[in-house]
Amino acid sequence: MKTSSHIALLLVVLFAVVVTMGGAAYGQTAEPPPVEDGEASDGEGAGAPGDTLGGGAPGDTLGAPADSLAGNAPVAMNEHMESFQNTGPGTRPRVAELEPEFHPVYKLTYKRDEGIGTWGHDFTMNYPLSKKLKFNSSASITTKEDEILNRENRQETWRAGLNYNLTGAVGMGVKFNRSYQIDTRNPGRPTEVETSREKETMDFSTSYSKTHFSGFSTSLSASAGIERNDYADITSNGSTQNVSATLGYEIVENLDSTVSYTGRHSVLDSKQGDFESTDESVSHALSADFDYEWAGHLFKADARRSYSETQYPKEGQTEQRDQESEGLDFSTEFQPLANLGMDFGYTYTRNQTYYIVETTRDSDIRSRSVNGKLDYSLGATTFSAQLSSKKDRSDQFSIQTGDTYSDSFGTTIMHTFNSKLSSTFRGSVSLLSFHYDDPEENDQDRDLLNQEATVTLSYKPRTDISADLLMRVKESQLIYIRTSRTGDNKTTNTYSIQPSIRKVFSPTVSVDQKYELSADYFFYTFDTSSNSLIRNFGVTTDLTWRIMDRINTTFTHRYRGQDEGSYVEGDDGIERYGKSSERDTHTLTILVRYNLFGLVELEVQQDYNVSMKWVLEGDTRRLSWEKHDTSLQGKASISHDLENGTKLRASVSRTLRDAPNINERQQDVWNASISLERTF
Amino acid sequence: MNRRAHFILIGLLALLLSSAGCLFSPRDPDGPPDDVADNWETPVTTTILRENLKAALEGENIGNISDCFTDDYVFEVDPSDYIDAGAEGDVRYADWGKDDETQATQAIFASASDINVTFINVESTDESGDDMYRREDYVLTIFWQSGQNINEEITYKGQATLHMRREQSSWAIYRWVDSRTVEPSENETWGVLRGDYRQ
Repeated sequence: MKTSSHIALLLVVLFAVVVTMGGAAYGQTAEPPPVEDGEASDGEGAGAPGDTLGGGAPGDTLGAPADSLAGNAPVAMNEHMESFQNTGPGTRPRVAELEPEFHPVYKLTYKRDEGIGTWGHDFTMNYPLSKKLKFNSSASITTKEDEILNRENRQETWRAGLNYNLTGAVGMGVKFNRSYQIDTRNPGRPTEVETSREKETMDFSTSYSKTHFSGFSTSLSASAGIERNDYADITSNGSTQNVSATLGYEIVENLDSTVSYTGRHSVLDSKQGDFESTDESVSHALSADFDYEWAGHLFKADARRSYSETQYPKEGQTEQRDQESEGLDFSTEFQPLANLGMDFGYTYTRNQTYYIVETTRDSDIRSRSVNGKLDYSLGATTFSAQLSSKKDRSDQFSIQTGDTYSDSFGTTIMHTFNSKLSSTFRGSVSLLSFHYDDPEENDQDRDLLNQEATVTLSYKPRTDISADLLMRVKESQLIYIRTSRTGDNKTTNTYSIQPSIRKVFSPTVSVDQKYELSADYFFYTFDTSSNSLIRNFGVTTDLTWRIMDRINTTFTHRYRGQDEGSYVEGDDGIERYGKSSERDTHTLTILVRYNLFGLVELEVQQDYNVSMKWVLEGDTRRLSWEKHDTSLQGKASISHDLENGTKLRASVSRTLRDAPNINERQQDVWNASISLERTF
Repeated sequence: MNRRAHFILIGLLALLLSSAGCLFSPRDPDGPPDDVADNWETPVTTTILRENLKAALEGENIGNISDCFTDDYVFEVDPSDYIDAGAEGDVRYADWGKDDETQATQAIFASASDINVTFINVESTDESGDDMYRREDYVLTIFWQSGQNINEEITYKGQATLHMRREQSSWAIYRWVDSRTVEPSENETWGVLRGDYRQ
């Protein structure tokens, strides 16, 4: 029997014993024992220890956060020691008293989409064994079968643990995690290949969290455990230790501060093939936050620094990744007038990563940015503007080394003329600029300039009619700096206008119509013979009719026309459009929805699509191709909650299609999703 | 509204607009190219988009690479590649977006002297709507001028399911699901190559 199985079995037996004892002690009644003076129920105390033993540990390592747990610690400890209780001012109010009820939750899900079937089983079992002792467990199994690629994938995650609140401020825990992932290609065939990863961790943790008085709190936690990790050709066993501490203090009135530290250390004996190594990893993270509020204005300052060394096997060698990060944020929020708000901010970050084996991946990236924002309102008009500027310095120890500048400005003006008419204007401009240190070896220096303006008008002359108009102008420039690349320099101009109208004829009938007209111009700076134009026109009409209370129908017709061609300058210096091709697409859709007994939603949808393309050669317009596509889709879905807490969500659909250029599998497609959740 | 607020507002607006004028002036190019390379055609069909991607890779044109992907683009690595990466799995592949794609591709360009890519269409859905996918077998061959495989020609093989979306006139890739070849192969996938060059 595997170690993991032993541990799981041990936990299950432990749980059974404790449930039996706990059940006997409390008689499975809703009447909990009286709460003793000075004791804090679960959740009390700043920083809420409760079930947060070992918090602060990163990722999926030992001492991972939250649901760690605790052994059956001696209850006879002096529970009334003032230092280990949260009783003073600033503590949170007492929560509801214990009602030890046992409610496992099981959830089954199934989804089938385009030949990929996914099953999911999730089981959660939490039980408050006593006011201080909690059992937590969960299991999740997901399997995925891809018929097209002939792949099977299975992921399992098992968790179990105990949390024990020794006092209102001190907690302990023990936790076991197991995850397993296997990916199988060509299952059952001679070419079957399996790739798997298995990871087991177990950790013991303790925490202390205390609100000493209003505005001052401390939190400490530590955990230690063992880890076993198998993946590909690598196996590792070892232990980890975590420690975290947080100090919260209100220095003066309205000035709050928080200082946090998290540390982690692990030693894993790793083996990759014949290569054996002892991998030692360590990390430290320190952060400090300060918030000050004065006369309605807010000032914030955050600083952080972290360092880590991570060792792991890599192609027969011990790889070490060293990471060092630091960051600083300042931000202010002013409100000098009731209708005027201003924000300013500054951010600095530096991230350094170094490898011993893969030195080509080393990097040192520094970033500085400033930003400002202004909001102003006057009567029916509101105005806002944002400006930001950022510089990144990237040292990649290769020809990627260089600077990146990113600047943007945006503004929005909204005005309500009257109860029927309102408008919005949005404008923005941004410039992204890449500067590399070695232009001889790296010729990708470039600027990307984007400018965009949109105007939206909304008009509602009567309660049964509403109309909208959207107008948009956009210009994008791609400018390579080096001559070896400037052949690709281009400017794209887009102009579009989209009017739409909605008319409600009766409580059961309404019509929507939307027009779309746009033109995209492509201008090449040094290759004007490649300049081109694409024009689009589209109309979408929707008729919605509620025939009966439970029957709804929607008829939709969509037309889209597109033509394209060159847009080059003639001998007379005037640019002209030389259309080379046209396309038309018509789609007609009929959708009927019927609600059966208020329980099952049925849908039937039929689509008919015609697409045609013509090629223009001189004065001749020749049909290049014509495609007809029909599809019929039936769908049934249900969403139902039973009185016993069971939730059922299901949907199944089948689509039959007849179209050229689709394979046999695409002619008949089943999609389904089922979710069943039962709380016992 | 008093006069002081007006002055503050006008002053700040003037400051913002004057700052904007300085910030948003692009550089002038060094000059016209020696040879005009026509590597880009407006991707009004998904086939043109795929050819643009191929031309941009082979021509090492990072601007055109970027134009092949939507802003919300995501890359999903083959599950076996993720498992094989072990402790590095998340560092190499997690939350892969458009910035990761362009930065990794540019890092590949920096180390490669010659790139050739071949796509073979395995399956396509209809592109009369605004959303479709193409399944493409790919063979990517790179001759490395620097890095761990210096002066070696390495071939990467696999299958890409390219989910594409039409925005206005043009198609762009919003999701790339990478898979190893159906038959076992000694060649690594494009996904592993991406992970090797993630910044």
